[in-house]
Amino acid sequence: MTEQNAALRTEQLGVSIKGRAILQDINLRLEKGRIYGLLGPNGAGKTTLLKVLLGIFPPSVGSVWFDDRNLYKQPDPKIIETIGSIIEYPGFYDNLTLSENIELHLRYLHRQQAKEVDDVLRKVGLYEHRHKLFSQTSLGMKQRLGIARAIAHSPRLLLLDEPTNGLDPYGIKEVREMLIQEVLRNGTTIVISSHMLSEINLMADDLIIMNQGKIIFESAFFKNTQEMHLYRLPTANTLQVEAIMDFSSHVLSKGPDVVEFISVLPPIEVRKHVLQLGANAQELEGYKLSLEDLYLKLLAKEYRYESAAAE
Amino acid sequence: MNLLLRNEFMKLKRLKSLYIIFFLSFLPFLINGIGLLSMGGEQTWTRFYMFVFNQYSVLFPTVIFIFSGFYFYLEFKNKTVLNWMSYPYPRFKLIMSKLIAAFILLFLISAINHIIHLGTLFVVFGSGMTTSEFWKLPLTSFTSTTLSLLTIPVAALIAFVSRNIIVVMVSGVAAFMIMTILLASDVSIAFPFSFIYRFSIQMVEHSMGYSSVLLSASGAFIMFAYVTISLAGLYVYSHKTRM
Repeated sequence: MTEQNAALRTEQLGVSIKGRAILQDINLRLEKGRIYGLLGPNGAGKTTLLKVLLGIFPPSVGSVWFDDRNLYKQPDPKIIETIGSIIEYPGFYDNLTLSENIELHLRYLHRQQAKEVDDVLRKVGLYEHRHKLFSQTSLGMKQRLGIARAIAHSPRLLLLDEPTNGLDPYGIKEVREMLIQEVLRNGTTIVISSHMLSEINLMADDLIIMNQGKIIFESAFFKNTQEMHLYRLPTANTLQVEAIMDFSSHVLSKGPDVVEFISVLPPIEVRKHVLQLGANAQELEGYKLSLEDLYLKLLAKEYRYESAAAE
Repeated sequence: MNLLLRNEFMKLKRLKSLYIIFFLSFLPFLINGIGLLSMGGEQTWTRFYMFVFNQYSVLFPTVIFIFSGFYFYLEFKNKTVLNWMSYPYPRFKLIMSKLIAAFILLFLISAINHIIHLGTLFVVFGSGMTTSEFWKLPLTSFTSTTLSLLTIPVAALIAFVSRNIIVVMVSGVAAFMIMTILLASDVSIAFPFSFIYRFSIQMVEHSMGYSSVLLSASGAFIMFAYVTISLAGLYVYSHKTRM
């Protein structure tokens, strides 16, 4: 990825609270116009990472770069205005109507209001309910309003923490399509943190999996391939991890007898690479991995392979 | 700042607690107004003014504390604080806009209270008062409430640090109790609300004020310290705390 295409990048980002590391060594490059699925168990540091990227949670070490400006050392209100978010919970003023809540948000950002408020409420399917007080709405409507606020000012970067929480299946589909439209229409970069693997599977171009404050897995072009493979290569003790990383997303383990790695490449491609490295490609075993398998495998939980060995 | 203030006033729309605050602020006038009607000719302007002023001076600080604290606490209750603090303005400016909005709103409420109180007083007793006697009264009432309103940052800091409405309300009640306990002694300079009462009342009744300028100056300095420390606390909070 070129620097020009990077909407945002972080360098050796770390957050510690009372001596406890919440985030460690986070090096991210978020490309313009892509959807990133951010996965990880509770307490992995996903929400903290989103807060740091939003500019409201200064990191203990490292830096966040947005348009080649350090978000914390060279803060620029114009940059902050180009970020939309739902973090933790879509909080709004109970005593204001849905349209007043969005109007208030746009007023803070010096934006035209009446038309923009109506437009965005139409987009999220809340226009008919615009005069309802926020306190009188359902969880699903609150979530939609959260999305409305996040996209109301046409941000270049959207940081969404569980955006489909509380929505019914129809609402989830609508939100998914709406977010994809945002990317297509405005080239928005979206980071979605979610526990709904099926949604990430359908939406994300790229995957980021975190555990215990670290990024343990990153895969670009996840959506294009639609599948991951777990490969096992026995008697590969001569291979270097760095060499394997050329055609894999993640090296799971490398012992004296076997090396295990994950790749988005199909077995035939991986076999070519293995041959080029001088290893015995005949012994290569490949298994298709579902996102759930991958997630559980990475987090050292029980998993099962989805299909039989590859060709 | 103008835009931020307008936004803060928008957040107050339909807030039921505002109506309650407005009604509560009239209690001293209503209670003594009924007294005025029932006592008829026995009532004097001094008694009517002092009764309302005394009760108002005790009630209003409690109202200031509870309302200002609640107004800040609302950002936590509604879970909007994260969003509010993420807008592209210096955080302290956002906090200041809320402080100023609370000041303006409570000042307007107190102004309406005073106008109705003094208007009634003038209609009933105006013919028996000299001009200088009459003008001392609004000066005393407005001095008292304006100085009391300067303590809004103290309530705001308590709300910000505790993020708990119970703590905010207990602080309001505690302010009322501490004020009444300290009121009669010179130690009252140590607590802003009791100091403000004694400082203001001396414009109408000199004997109820402080015996020396030094005491008044010390009280003013201590009150200034309360406000400055609270503002400094809010400033530090706005800069240091990770949201």
